[in-house]
Amino acid sequence: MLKRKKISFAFFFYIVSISILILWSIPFIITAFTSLKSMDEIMASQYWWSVPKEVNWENFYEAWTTGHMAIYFKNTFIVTIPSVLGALFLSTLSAFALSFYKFRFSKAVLILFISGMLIPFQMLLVPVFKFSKDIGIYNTHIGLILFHIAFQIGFCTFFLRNFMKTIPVSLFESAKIDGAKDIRIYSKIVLPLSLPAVAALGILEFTWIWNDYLWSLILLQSDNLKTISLGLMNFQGQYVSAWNSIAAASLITAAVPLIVFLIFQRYFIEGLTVGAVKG
Amino acid sequence: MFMSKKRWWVPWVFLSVPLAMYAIWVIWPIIQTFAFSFTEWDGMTSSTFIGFENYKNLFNDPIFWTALKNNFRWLILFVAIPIPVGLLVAMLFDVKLPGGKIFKTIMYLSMTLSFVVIAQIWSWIYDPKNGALAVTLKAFGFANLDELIQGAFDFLIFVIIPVIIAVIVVKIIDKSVRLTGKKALFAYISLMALFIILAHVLKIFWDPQVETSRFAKNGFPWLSDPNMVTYSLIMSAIWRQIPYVMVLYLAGLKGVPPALVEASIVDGANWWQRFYNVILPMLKPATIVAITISVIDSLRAFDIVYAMTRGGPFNTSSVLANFMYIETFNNYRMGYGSSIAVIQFFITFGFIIVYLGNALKKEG
Amino acid sequence: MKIKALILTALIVTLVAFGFAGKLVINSYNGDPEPRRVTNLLLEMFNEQYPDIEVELNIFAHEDFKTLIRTWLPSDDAPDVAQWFAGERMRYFADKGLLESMDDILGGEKWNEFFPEAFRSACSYDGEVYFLPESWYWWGVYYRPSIFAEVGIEVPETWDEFVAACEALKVAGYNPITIGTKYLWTAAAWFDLLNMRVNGLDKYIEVLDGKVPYNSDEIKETMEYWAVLVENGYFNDDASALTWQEALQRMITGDSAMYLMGQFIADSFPDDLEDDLDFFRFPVIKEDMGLYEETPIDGWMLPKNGKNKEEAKIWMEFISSKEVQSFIASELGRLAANKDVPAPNAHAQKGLDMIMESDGVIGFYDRDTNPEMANKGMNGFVQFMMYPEMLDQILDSLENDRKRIYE
Repeated sequence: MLKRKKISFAFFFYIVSISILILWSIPFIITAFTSLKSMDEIMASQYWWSVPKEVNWENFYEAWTTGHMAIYFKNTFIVTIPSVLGALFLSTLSAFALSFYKFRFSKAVLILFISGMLIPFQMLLVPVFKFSKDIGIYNTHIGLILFHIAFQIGFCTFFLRNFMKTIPVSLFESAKIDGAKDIRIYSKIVLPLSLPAVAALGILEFTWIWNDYLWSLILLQSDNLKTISLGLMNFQGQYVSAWNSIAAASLITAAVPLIVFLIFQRYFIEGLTVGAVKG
Repeated sequence: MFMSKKRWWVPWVFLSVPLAMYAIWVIWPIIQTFAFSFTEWDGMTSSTFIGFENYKNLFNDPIFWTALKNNFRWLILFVAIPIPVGLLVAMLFDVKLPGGKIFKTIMYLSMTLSFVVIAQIWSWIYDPKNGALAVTLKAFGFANLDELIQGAFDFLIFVIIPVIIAVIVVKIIDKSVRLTGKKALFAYISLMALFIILAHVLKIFWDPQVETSRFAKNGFPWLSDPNMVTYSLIMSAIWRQIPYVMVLYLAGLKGVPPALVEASIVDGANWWQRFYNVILPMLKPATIVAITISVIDSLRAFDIVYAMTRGGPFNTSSVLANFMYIETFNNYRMGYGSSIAVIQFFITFGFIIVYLGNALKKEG
Repeated sequence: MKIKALILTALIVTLVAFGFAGKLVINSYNGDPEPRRVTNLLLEMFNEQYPDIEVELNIFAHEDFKTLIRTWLPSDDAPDVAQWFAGERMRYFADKGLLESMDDILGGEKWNEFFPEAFRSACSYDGEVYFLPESWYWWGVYYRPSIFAEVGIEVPETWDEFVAACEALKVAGYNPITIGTKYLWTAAAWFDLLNMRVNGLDKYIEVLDGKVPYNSDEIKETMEYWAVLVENGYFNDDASALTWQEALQRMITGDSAMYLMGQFIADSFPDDLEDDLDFFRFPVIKEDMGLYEETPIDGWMLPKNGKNKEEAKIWMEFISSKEVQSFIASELGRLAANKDVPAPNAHAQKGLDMIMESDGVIGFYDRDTNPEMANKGMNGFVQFMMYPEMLDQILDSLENDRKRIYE
């Protein structure tokens, strides 16, 4: 009886899951098709999303070379990794402070972090541009990195604080009795327990910063410093857009956050659960 | 928690660097934006102080009101759909059957593509004559958008509502005559069938039509019909938002102690009770983040709108961020653009304060 | 020991001096594949001719460039050379003191050594030359000769012939005119040409300068002609959902017969259909009206805040030379601004002839009028094309905008 239930449940699970996935993958499949067609075929086909008549694998090679993707890839790594690590690290600090300390301004500081997320960030373009120029970090990677870190701290702090609040304070009691300093509690208890949240956040942050377009546009000028999202736009001309190159380049670009997701997803699966009654 | 008079400075040490960076790169520019909103400035040369003139003009600007209306549509749909669906998908894929990992990954794909390509591909899906959607719907027998809308409306009135009525009736009957197992099933099915048939008889005499624009009668103008365009854009954005909410909930679900869930099964809870009374409350932090972010993102929506329609046709799909961007960077009206940003800020602020104030109050 | 130190210092100083002879920063929006390739080749040519000048060439996507230019120009280290459009777009910046005059290398009679007199006004501000024209192109009604032949239509020359052709095409099951107005500017072309046919060049320039009310009789008359096309359903209904390129696809698959477009349409036409694409001059509406066309001009300007003005001017001279202009023209199939360069191919020659036979030209609506007015105007045109019955409202609203912007 139980086995039958299990089998029918599994059946249900797979049917529903696969239907959802097919639905969700459609845009992606169309992207893949587009990346394999020639521009002539795209323009001449009745359906934008038709299966390619001729498979042009060289589109990927073309996109990589004419699009100078190697350099852009390198630049994007240079910008994204420090930004993510910096934002995550600093936010664990601020989230820790806001989760476990009762002090007069704690709610106000939290609101301050949240308010930064409320404004359309395009509005920050001109002030941040001016500021970067004034202190001489315009058109540098470090300028972009510092900005990303600062900007993401708002959301990351908010996110992590919410998760850290679920850590039962009782866990600290034994450590405090042992005379542990606050920093030890942070690093030895809170940080490890927040790992699933930090991992989730890391994935999201990586994807966002990797795909960031507007800030790279504003804060970088030299072609050899550009990131990949800008590189993608190079295929969108004033008059003619090379859709197949854009599609091919996007797929190559999307591969990286995907791999990051695969790597860090593990931390969800291994489930370092909070509230383990460790006694 | 750790609070002694002597060591009041401890949290501030932790906060020092993050807060400082945030203040310099984010808070200060925001304050500057507030200042700019009181000026007339082309963003390049000198600015002139004009007081509240920008705000006055804003309230008289029809595009502003259109954008505001659209943002509210975004707000409602962006919260109502991705949150429950994201949760369901997270729970579904979290099941410990082989393939879960791949499923999660494929869902996540939709977030990894840059918005430039997403906008282009969705534009093609939305092509009025040859788009993937148009062709699929035609295969299902809908010749144009108008027919689809009428069909959906008919379905709602003449099928969904009778079904709901049937369920209510069965529940009422259940109060007096205990219906179980096969009898209940029979009652449900027969009553549903009965009410649907009755509804369709009614349809002969009363067949309300939804009013659609003349564009809807020509193919599927997802992006060129002013009445439809915002919803089409929201749908593309939701497609991307659901995986995002899924990731949030996957992290949250990891924090649900399995022991607790097992205990409730032992207590005899059915799946609904398990979900509602045990799992959902433990997901509160994830839910708070998901709702907050969805609210903020809906009011801040920009890239999909800008990339797919630029706010068109003629500003009918405009949203505040898009409106602000065009005024600032296209029309060189930095002051005016800043005032739009400020308004947007306060609206979002209002929502978030109310929601978070509520949610956080319970934490004590 | 001392001598060595001296030599070393001298060496360092010289190196530093040359190093700081400054890197010439050139920002371009030639993101399209062919122009990008050619621009990079130009850089190589320049480096061969002037090996002492270190050049940094930055190419941006077109839309991005338009956003960024306004952040670069007022800043302390603006690029030394920036690509841009002639006309009001350029004058907008010159008026704000953000550009450097090039009168010393191109002013007065020097201009005529290189460029046609007709281009001077589009490249000048306040009597001085501020803009170096590089290439230009024309707009015409492109069509598929095979479709015309099948339906039995001759190339229309007058308005009545044009309308009759549209009707014949519609009856035969084709969409007569395709257009993609997602990015607005394609609609502006209709406004430009209809106005010039109905009201003439001088009057239209007044419109572009914001001196003529948008709800005046002249403009209403223009719109009446446009309304004929819209109300008879000669345009495709879903124009606002399509980019110009997506609308072009309808012409390639043979669903549409005509497209009012610029010369670059040929770049996107598949190679195997190249012979089945031709164009004709926008139809004549008033017999006694001069023939005016539009020819957007692209080129380069000198930001005032650039650091290396001398090197920048060398680049300008380089670009204006006959050799370089020929090279650009032949590689891209465009028309060079330099008056001594012949048209690179038959298609370009036909366009050149058409323009040479014309009585006057403008650039383009969104290049020749105030940017904000252009944005509001073009949105109005798109709205008109979808809701022609709202014409009066639209024109009144545009008039309000014009008053606010120009007065």
